[in-house]
Amino acid sequence: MEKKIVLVSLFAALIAVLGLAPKVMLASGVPITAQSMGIMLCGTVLGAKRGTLAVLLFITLTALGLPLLSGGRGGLGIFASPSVGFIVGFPLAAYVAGLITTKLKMVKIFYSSLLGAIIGGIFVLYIPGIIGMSIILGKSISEATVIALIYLPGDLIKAFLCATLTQTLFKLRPADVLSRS
Amino acid sequence: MIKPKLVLNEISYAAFGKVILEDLTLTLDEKSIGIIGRNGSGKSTLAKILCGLIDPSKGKLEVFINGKNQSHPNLKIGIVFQNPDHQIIFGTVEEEIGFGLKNLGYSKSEVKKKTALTLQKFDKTNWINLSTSTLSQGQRQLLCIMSVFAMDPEIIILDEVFSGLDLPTTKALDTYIKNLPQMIIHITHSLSSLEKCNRVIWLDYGKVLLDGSPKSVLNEYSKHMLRNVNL
Amino acid sequence: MLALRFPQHTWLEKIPASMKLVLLATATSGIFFVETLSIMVLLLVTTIAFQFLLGWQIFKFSLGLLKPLLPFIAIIVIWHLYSGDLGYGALIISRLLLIVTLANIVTCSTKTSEISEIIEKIISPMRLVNINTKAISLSVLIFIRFTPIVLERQKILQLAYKCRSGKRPSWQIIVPLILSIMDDADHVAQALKSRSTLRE
Repeated sequence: MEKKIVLVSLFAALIAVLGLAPKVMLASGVPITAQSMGIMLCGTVLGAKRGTLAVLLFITLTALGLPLLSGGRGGLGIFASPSVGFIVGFPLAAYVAGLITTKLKMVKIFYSSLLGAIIGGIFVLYIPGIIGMSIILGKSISEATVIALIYLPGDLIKAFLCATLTQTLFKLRPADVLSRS
Repeated sequence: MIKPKLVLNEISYAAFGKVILEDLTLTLDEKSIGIIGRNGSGKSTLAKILCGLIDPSKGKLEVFINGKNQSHPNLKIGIVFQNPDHQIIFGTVEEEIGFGLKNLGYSKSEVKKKTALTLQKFDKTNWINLSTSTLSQGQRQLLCIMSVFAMDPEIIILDEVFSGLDLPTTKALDTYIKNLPQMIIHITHSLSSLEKCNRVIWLDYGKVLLDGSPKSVLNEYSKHMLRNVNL
Repeated sequence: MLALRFPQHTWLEKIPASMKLVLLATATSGIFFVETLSIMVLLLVTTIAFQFLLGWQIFKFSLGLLKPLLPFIAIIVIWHLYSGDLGYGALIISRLLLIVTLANIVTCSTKTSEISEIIEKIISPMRLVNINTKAISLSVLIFIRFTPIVLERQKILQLAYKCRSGKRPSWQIIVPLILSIMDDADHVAQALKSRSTLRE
């Protein structure tokens, strides 16, 4: 039990660290961070329940004022920014990603986590994300969707990376990949 | 005062198809016991089994404290690990020492008192408000020892607590360890710290190779180690 | 690990956290009903002036906190230049800046302990629904303690990679980073177990 608590806390720390790591510039000039990949990984590696707990831990402490959201953002201001929808969607994304990875036991972990990362980390995440952006940026849903599409290529790469990472971790530390143990 | 006693009966441990400990049958009741052996000989695994953190795959361990057979795991056996970074959770010395005490059920005021008492015993009263991140490696290791000591264990297991420390720090820490009143089981590569032990056990590939007085065991060990330098 | 705080103490810290949070929630909701650009700009300018009055250090600090919004502001400017509706664009931008600034003022003038006390009060009834509050507070502690450590390790891994390849790594260090986390989890869990009794 202690091990699970510690893994949850450490993965929450991982989300923070992936957000603080330097950004990568996509061709379109939009900086992307690995932070949302951290969210996907929480789901695909820790499973639905623990993954969500890790994400909730991260969000709560960031909301408390720790500058851990990518770009060094923190505090209540994060809920006032255009990313608010995504932030609210993070726990849902991790949950769905974890659920899919766990439920699709019969499929190789690469594919189940890829599916989980795409459905959870992109589809499920983008819905509240787009709603949030439309409210804050004063755009219609379809307009906000257009803006969100800027992130799509980066997020697809992250989903693929997430699946690769999950598969590697499962090979090296099968007992620690809680989504499949 | 009845001495604490650990009785191992054919203790074996295997993980991932590898045998780590094999058929250990020992009775440990000396005041200070040293455990030596190459890396990978199973010393840390033995330490964790002794304090109840992991269960042996086979065999039985009985812990007698004050003559009574104890259930496992129990907080009467303290353990200090090799990396203080894995053990220190809090930001201040006071909170760190208080953690174990709170878990034992002491009230807030009792925790405060016992923390102050512990620091006093180690002559570190001025540490109470220090931030744990400002302590040096050796100081952090001492903090770990103090945090375990504060819980009044009957037995303290030290698992390679000198790792990564320079010689003077090792000597300083060793002085504290030698003054601990509890039964001490000391796992270390620092052979000189074991010279004054009551008993030294040499573990090799999960089995007891030699077991006896520090003089005889340590002598054999150093001779053997210098002859078999082989990766 | 430091939470976002103003570089200097202000009288705002004396206001109880709960009151600040309620005021913030009310103000934020109210602001969404403002549709006139001039009013919004007035509110924004007032807030900025307020921060300026708190002190030059604080003013600079708060401006710095708004930097991450620049990409979004750029998107809005470009969008509205294209659509020709600059007035509405200006409204959105001022509103964004205003709300984020207000939220930041509350965050930076409130002690973490105050906010966590409020959170604890919200969480404590959960004990009745069998949620392990002790485990929650332990997770918070370990998170706070280990984030800087994991960050350090990431930097070291980056350095090690760079030393041997001459290039800056991106995704290559994530596996060793996570492996080290999993190994750490083992050790920390055992150290925890040796000092606590989580089975309640």
